[in-house]
Amino acid sequence: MKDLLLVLRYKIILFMKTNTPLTFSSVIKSAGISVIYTAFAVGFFLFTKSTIRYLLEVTAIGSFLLHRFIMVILFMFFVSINIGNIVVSYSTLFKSGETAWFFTKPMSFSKVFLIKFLDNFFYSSTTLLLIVSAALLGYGVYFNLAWYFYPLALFVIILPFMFSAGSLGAILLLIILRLAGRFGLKKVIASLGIIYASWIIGFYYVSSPIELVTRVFTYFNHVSLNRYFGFLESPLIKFLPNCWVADSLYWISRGQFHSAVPLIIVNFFFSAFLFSIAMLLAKKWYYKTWLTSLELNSDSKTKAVSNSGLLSFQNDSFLNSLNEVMIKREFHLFFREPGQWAHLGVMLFLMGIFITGISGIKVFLVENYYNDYLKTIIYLVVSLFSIFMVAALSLRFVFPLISLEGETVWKIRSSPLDHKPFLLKRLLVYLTLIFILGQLITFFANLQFPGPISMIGQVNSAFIIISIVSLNFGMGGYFSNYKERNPIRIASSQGASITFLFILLYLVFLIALLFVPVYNFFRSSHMYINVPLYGLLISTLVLFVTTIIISASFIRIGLHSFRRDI
Amino acid sequence: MLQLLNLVKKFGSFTAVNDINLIIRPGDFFGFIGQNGAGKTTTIKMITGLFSPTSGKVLINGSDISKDPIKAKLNIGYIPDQPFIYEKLTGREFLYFSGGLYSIAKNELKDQITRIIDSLRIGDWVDKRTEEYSQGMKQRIIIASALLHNPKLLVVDEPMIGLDPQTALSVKELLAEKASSGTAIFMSTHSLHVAEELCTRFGIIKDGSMIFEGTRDELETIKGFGHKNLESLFLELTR
Repeated sequence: MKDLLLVLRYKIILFMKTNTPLTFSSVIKSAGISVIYTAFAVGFFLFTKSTIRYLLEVTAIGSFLLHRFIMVILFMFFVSINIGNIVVSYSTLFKSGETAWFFTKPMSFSKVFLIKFLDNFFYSSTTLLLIVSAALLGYGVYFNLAWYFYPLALFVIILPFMFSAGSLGAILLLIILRLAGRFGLKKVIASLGIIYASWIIGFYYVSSPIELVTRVFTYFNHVSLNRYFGFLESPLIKFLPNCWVADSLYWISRGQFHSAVPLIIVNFFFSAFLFSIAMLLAKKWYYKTWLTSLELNSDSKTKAVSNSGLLSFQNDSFLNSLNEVMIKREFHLFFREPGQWAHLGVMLFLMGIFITGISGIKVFLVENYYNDYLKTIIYLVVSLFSIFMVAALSLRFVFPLISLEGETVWKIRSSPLDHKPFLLKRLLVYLTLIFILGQLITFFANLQFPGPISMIGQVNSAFIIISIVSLNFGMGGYFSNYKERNPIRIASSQGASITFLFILLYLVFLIALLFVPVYNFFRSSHMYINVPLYGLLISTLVLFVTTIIISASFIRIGLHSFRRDI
Repeated sequence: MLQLLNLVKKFGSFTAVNDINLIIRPGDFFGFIGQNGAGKTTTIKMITGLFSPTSGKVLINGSDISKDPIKAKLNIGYIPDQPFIYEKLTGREFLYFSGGLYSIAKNELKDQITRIIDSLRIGDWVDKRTEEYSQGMKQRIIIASALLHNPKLLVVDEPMIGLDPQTALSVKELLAEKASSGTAIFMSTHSLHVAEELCTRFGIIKDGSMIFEGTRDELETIKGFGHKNLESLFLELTR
């Protein structure tokens, strides 16, 4: 225990020293960051409160459906923390130099595991906690809940929920590496990947949100939609932590705290149970799996790399030598780093699920053809999810772009090349890929909506993608850290969190810009009067201008950052 | 080949390099010596374009590195003190990559890489990823990459770190050969024996200022006043 406290103490000292250097510019920077965080928290608080008010008072979906909507969000929240933890834990628990250093000290392996696991969990979850706190505040204020709701919800409901996702990530990672030693890494990852994918698809299949909405709405004229309609859904749902959390909130918001207590207790003990399992497995397997990861690494490393092949540096190319070596370097560095391509694979998989998931929307729209508000909300939510996918890709792959030059940046900076075209070409490669993916997602998402709005949505999406990618490029440059080699840690750093907040701010701007024209469009098409497209076109024009401003400013920031002393 | 004119670098209120003036001519082998934190690496980073000077100029073959960086950098080969290279590339790939940055024609580059691989004896592991290399191996790859384009000025920061005695000897021979063939060498080192063995001119930096600058002959004259070697003089001057 003493050694754990010692490490904790020095981690805190390190954090304080890293984040509070007392120079004028750093104080200004920290103050700016605090203002951004505060503004964002306030914005998210207001957004949550007004969304709940809107859903309950304007669209009148009822308290039960509101909490089922929260349940789906919590599921995505759980999956992203869980997958994020698997990927990041591999770097911090198995590849980090600090871990190897701890292993040379007289400290038990499970303690090293505990230190790195907690470090990892809190490092990557700070922004999420901020978002959750602001959302809880908005939720509590809307339902006029007592003061003790906030600490209770944060520390006894949400934090254990997030901790369950993190612990499960660590457990899965230990199992993957344990089995990889016996059956080979690729086979194990493929098998567990399939199981995991089936679980996600299974959740959407079993919970079937659209079907549930339709079923609940059949009671529209008979009973209050605020009552509990749990009997309309699969009993399997009741075994999931996101359901426990959503139901706890439902009962608390209805003033029936005694109904929430069992769910809170189950959620809390489930979290403790998963954490204990993680610690138990760590005690038995951590060192063994660490050795396995070394072996797996050295197996792939000791083979000499072939000098032939399509993108071999020795092959002649039609490109000029500078462009040629840049493209080849980018390709090899990306595909030889498992963290990069594996994470891309996971994100593409999640996109596939998203695209499959929205196919049911058309039926829903047809059945609710009279509800223009609801259609507008659905259109905006689907669009925002598409943008969110693009934002996640950009944050993960464009934000770290400049930092990933790494400590080898000396080679580029001391070479006779113009840095601006060099960086712009790198940006263009990623922008093109994300642009194509983003356009595809938008295409499938918009397929459910009428032609004109679908086409305009496609154009809007192009501008939005360019803005978000540029924003990430600029912010990534501004917060560049050449010493951090792990792209996932770069993408979950403080700078990345602020970028994420900017993106959310941008999303709010998009809602404000698009809500009225989209509503007018659906209203007009429903009433069979001339559909006024000018509103939508004006919003596209505004988006175009905003894109130019955002792209020019943030690309400039990114390019300028590369000239800083290193 | 290299001119430092009233070169100053400040970090906030701290002056790391204070008004340094220096001229290095082709064939000069300049040893830049100083204690830890004296300003050696800061000076080198300004010469190679990694730091921008607070004031003053760095001219390389007549080109100002701040105003005409591409032209200036074409003439430089840089060997940093820390051997950071792309861990996922092999040594050979890194050399091709480095050659590409200087736009060397592919055939010429192939020949040059083959020659350097032989002279630095890196053929056994040059096709493995550099993440497997020891510090000395990485250092040799960096030295090779700095020599590919036959630079007119070689800027070397602590070249012997991590090298085994055989490789250290071959690196010393290589550097001496480069200097004798007209390459100007600016070398920062803690190893006073290496400096004494190789350099034709010396500069000692203390707290950012150059406190001694002279030729081997001038050094010998000063050493005559009670100093057995460069180490003794260095300790006296930097006390």
